[in-house]
Amino acid sequence: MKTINGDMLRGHLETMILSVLDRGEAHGLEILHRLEQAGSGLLRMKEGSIYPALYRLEGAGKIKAVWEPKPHARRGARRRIYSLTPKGKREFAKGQTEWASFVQVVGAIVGAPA
Amino acid sequence: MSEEVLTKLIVLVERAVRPVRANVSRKRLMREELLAHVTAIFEEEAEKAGDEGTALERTRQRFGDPLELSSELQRSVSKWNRIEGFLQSARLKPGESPPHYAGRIAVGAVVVYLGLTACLVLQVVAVTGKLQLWLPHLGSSPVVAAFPVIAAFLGMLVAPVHSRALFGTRSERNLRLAIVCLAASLAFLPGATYLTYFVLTQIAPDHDDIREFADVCWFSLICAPMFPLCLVAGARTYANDFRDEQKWARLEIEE
Repeated sequence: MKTINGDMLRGHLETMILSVLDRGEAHGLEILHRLEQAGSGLLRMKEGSIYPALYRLEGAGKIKAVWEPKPHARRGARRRIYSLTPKGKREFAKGQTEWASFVQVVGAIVGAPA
Repeated sequence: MSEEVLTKLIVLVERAVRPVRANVSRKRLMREELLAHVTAIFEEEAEKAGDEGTALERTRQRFGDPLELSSELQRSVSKWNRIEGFLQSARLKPGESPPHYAGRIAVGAVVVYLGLTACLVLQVVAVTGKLQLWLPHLGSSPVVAAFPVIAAFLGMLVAPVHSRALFGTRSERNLRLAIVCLAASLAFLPGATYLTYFVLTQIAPDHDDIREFADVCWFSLICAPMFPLCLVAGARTYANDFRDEQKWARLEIEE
């Protein structure tokens, strides 16, 4: 199966991040790993681009972040641990509904129903 | 991880973050978080590949084009944060000489003052409808507009000196200089007020505004400690921001 790259993910990335965080808090790299795992290795995105999406979600109050107390690596900087806010949970539920209806409608049109 | 590799990773992050227009704390957050990320990628790749060169190349590929990321990061910065970043750019820049800084701030203060005066003139013209009538209606307003500009100008000149004298590097710390700055700043508000009052009495001795301004003169003496208090309150943040900016600004990021 063909891989799904960053351009195709545009517009859905934020909902996918909410979905990952709905399963538990995580830092940026962990979110990417969970996304790749859930996408069975078919999701391919430039890793840096997850952070603008995280900052947008944080700015919109859908997720919150705390610095981990100590740097992860011996020489490394600290990571931030992200989790869903109540608003994020509501947005995610809304996103799931919208996605289901999108897949149903477009699937019916292109002849590949969900 | 060797020092050389760490520097290359820092440069990779800086290429993405430096062009972003945001306040200092937002950029600091981006730098630290992205550095933590690229360090973790490098560790993963070094474990797989076994040599640092290949791991570094894979890290770059996985991280993506810094320029593209830079514009994405810019879009994630709010309008207010961008404005705050713009205002912070008026502060002393790493590597900037004190005379250059003083000149830059003076030019900025003059521009702000002229802008304020132009606004006052336009306001009077809008009300009276006639340009030649603006002066009597405007009265002493342009002089009064100079008052906050002078006070802000003096504050901006002293703030970097004071913060570094208190919380700078070991060689920069100088308690006596910090105390001198605080003592001088105590005179800023009354000094600017009385200077404005003096100019007003010279150019328009019979104007009503002068009586009102005389009351402000007394009030400025009561409020005088506000300036040194603000300097002390902001000193640590100012010094930390400056040190942080200086550390990253030293990096050569051109390929």
